[in-house]
Amino acid sequence: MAASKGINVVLKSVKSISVRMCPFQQNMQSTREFLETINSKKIRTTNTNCEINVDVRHDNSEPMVDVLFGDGERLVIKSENVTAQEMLLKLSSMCSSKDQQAKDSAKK
Amino acid sequence: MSLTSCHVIIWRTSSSLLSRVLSLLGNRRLPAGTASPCTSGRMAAALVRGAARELAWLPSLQCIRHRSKAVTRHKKAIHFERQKILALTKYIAPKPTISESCMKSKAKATDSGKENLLEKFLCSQLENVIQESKMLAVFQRNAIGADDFLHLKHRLHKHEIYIKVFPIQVIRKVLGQSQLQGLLPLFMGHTFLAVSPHAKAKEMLQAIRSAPQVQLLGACIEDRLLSKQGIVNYSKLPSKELLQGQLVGTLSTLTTQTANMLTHHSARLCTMLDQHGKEEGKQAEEN
Repeated sequence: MAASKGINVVLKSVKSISVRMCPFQQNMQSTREFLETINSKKIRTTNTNCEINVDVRHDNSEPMVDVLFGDGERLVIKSENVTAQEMLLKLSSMCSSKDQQAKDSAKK
Repeated sequence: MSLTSCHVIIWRTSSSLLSRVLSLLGNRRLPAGTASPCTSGRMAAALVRGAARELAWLPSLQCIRHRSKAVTRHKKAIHFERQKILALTKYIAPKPTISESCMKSKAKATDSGKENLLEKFLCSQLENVIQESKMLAVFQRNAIGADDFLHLKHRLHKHEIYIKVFPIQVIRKVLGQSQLQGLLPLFMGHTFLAVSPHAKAKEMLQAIRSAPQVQLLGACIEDRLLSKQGIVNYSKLPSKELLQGQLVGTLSTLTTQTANMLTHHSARLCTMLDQHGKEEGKQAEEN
């Protein structure tokens, strides 16, 4: 859990994050770590309007993280064989690039 | 000469001591004209020394700070030569050829033969909790703040649902042996248990609604393993008494129905014959 603490994610450009998981399955660690980190106060306060939906089911379906950005783009991560750190890194890089784009367009 | 020697000795003493020495000297007056000036000087010095010894111990060497800095906490910079040598002789650990992220984490120290008393105590506590509770729900604590967690605790406490937090080793140890093995995959990271001596799924779900971070993962209610959807369905069920009443109702309707069916034909025949008899009676009257 401690490995994913150092990553700074700014959810400014994110509209909603939905996490689907079946907790009785084997490879759940990364998804649950991701959920834990996303829910932490430091990251939540970057955008309080960002919705985080969690769908806990029991149908042996593979875990999935679906991030919907403000400009309509979607990032779907099938998190079965991915670590939480990799997911957070990807999300943070996407977020920072979106923020940069928004800044540039505002300047013009 | 006597004056100077006296002065030298007295110079080191403090002002209060000085006044007392002088007063002592005044009391021990020497007989006049008996001694030469040289001997009188020596005697005076000896007297003063004796008087001082009577009064207090005089340190022969005293450290006096003359207008130096009041702050002595500042560290003095190390000499440049020494600094150089220290820098030269500093140990530099050799860098590993593989990057750290690719290396295997160090194996944790294996359990020593000693039994951990705290762990044993927690195990017994968890066993008690499992035995006494009818409902045992597992939650993921998604970085919920301490104050929110406390509020949730109080809200659940109103319905006799208690939050228990156990270390994961203890949970693995105890649940692995009990019939609740199915719950083991749920325990990962920060989790907590909500236990209750009564099966109050509805109240629990209501209390959790105010803390959206907390995620219900699964539960064991009355020795039955339930997923989240199962718990929601369970909470929608009416109470046990009501269900029993319904069952009694359906059973009694069945018996009354069969009785009805059995007597139906004879009753109908009776009414038919009755009507027929009446009609015949009417016809006879008309004729």
